[in-house]
Amino acid sequence: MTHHDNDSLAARLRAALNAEADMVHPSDDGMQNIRSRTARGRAWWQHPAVLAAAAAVVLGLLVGGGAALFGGGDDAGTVAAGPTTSAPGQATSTDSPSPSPTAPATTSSTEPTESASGEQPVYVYFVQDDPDSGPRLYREEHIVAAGPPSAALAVQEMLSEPPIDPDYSSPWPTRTRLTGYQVIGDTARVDLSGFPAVGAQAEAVAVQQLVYTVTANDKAVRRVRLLVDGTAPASGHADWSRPVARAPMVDVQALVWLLAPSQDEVVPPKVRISGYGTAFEGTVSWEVRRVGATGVVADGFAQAGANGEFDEFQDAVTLEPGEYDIRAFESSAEDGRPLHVDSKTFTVR
Amino acid sequence: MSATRAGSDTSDWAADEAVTRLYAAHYRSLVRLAALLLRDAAAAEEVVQDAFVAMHGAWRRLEDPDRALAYLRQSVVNRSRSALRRRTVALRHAPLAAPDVASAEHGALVALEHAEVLAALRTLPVRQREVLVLRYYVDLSEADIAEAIGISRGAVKSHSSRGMAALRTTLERTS
Repeated sequence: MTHHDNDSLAARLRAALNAEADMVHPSDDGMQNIRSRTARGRAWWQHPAVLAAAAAVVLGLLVGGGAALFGGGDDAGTVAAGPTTSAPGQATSTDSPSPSPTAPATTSSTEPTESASGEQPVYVYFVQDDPDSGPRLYREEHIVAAGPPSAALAVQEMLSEPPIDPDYSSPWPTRTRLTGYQVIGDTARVDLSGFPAVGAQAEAVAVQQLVYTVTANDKAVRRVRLLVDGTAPASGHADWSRPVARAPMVDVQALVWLLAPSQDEVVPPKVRISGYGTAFEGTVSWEVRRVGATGVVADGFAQAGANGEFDEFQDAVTLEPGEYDIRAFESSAEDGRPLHVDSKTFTVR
Repeated sequence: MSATRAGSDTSDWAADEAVTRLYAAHYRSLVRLAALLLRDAAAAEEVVQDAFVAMHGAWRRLEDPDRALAYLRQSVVNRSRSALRRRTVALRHAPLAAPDVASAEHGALVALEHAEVLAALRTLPVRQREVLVLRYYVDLSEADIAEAIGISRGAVKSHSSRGMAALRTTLERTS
């Protein structure tokens, strides 16, 4: 509605609504929730390959890195590769082009900056050793050069770039490359050039790091088949020749996890705090300190999930300009000490 | 592809496929729309998930991605309105406080400006607010707004102009 853009009030309203909307980040289990309610007695991932392959075409899971994509299963036929592939009968409504190949993270027409600049966000999981529960997966949003499929971009990012949060790390060898990415039915085949040489637990977490990263960026994928130099990874600990699904969140995912403010973010004085997690009675605590100081300048509680259920928590605090550290954690029911701490450093402008 | 398959599952497959496609293309923007109407991100996700489940159930009737998207939008607007009505004083997530003028003077003029506009928007009657959000956030046409809210195009026009006039008055008063 360009004739409104001359109107400064319209422009102000548009800017305010977009800024507010940009702070909303849906959790990545939406599809799972919807599927579990529409499945009507059959698990949706038990569909014949034909459906998943169809979904793969629709989502345009096309490989940018040169690997070919092919259809799987007797009925699936061959899936054409190429960036111009689009779904038949694609939407022609006014507000959005078509089901985009870049999956939910990037498709909204209300975020022109993402497509216009040729960049897109991907979700990448990293590992932090939680002294109270062992190595856990934490998700970061990374901005990468656009190009489908998102899941392959995310894996590439996971292998080649360090986490934004210096507390996180990746057990994958630094020279590991993604050499192929194909989706067949509900299974992504991920070809890599290396594999972590670590202990059994760290190795299992590394594989889940990969599986969570792929599935977070491609809702049609339920399992990952991992190949290293064309064969099942040589592990002294486990047999990874079968496709691997996500392990239960409560076993591998961070129990308390800060989404906002993000590491090194510059934010306005009204600081939105959000995160994801599970805690005793759902209570997640947070504390803010000035960088280099010990005194807590602000603290509070927020409601996350309880009893192994994960949920988003939100709070807000107003701070003076400066550099701060924020920690979010579960307070031990026994002695009040902080458990499962996640921390970020940020700046209030 | 699924059309070549015989049997009663065909429609289920089509509905599942529609959910997959519409989710990929519109889930986030629909959640954000609901969040703007509700001011509660978690409740917004529930509303949108409910809308998708309902759309899946109504697929036999819709059988068209464009109509399914219109249905989703309508469903999100209606459910958001009902959720707002149901919501008691005890919000699941405490609402954000009014803009903090004192701290904003330190330089967060943009944030303050946004907060002011949004605060003014919240003082509007629900229909006016819905029209303005659908117009200036989702960028819908008058016809699509009319369909999403279930009112006439004439009513969209009048809600829009009244809403903008009221916004202007409120913002002039506060600045």
